[in-house]
Amino acid sequence: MSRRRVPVLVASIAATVLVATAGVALGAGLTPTSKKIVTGAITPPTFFVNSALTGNGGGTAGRVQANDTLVIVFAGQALQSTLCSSWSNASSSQSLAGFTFTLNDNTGTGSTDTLTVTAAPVACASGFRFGTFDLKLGTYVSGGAATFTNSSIALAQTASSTTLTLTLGTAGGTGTLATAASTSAAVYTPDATVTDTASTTVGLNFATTTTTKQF
Amino acid sequence: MPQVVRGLVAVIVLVLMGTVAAWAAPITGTSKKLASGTAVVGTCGVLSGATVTLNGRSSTLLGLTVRNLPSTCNAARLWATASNAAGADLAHGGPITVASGAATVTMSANPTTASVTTITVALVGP
Repeated sequence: MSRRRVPVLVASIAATVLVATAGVALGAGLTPTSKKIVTGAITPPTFFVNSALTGNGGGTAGRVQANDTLVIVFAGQALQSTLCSSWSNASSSQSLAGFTFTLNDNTGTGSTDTLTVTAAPVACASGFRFGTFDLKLGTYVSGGAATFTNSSIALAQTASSTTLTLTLGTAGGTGTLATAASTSAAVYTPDATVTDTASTTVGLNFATTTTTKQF
Repeated sequence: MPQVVRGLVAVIVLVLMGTVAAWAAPITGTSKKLASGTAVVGTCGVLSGATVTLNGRSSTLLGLTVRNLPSTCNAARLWATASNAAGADLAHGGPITVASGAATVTMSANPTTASVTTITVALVGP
């Protein structure tokens, strides 16, 4: 090797070392991280509320009154005795009068009015496990609760569904009924302990009505 | 070839070489910086205990709530997909931030509840 080539070789080696060192330094500073990811498949419930719908049988839309209706449809065959103790699935239909429904003033979340079953005939010895129908609006009743005595509940059942039809009776109570000023999407939350014939509870499943003036 | 011509050719060649050298000199090569590494993708927890409740409207699926998620998944983002028996995406929703082991999702469409056979959830984070 000539003397002239020696400096060139030394310079080349030095450059290579510098580049390699820089690469090592760059790699050492890299600490990758990742988001945690998890997926899973969940079987949807077999017993739940498929729909809730109010009907105007009293003549004035948006005003809760006698002969108005509330139709609840469960997906699945409810164990009838979990609704009313004397009911049996031996029959696919039931009808019972003598209930009292109460339209509660501003007791829902957000001070909305709610409808509940507050008294049941003796046939339902431990009461009727209805749950709560939240009208999602607070202007149906004011100044106290309105009651609807001599109301009725009918049940109709198929292999895959259970339909409850609540019909309001005579209006009373301290509250003043009024026609709703606006529409709302009401929410029916059943009594979580109601089960189907396989003893599956309805749990926290619920249904929402279409947005309208209820009843 | 006359000597004068040879001389001219030599001068031209030298000028051209000089030009090439002048062109080459300003070029400064650059490159992208490269680095690589690996990271393990973890999970926030196991979903085997998770449950779903439905919000039905007129026999269709309006929304759903995923519950009983591990507390270690709180603050993760959750997506949910409702699919039928053939595996088709009928409706989906998210991301929703998981809080107190639950997340409520409004679906992109409203398939009949009877057509939904599987709810698939995916969580990213926290």
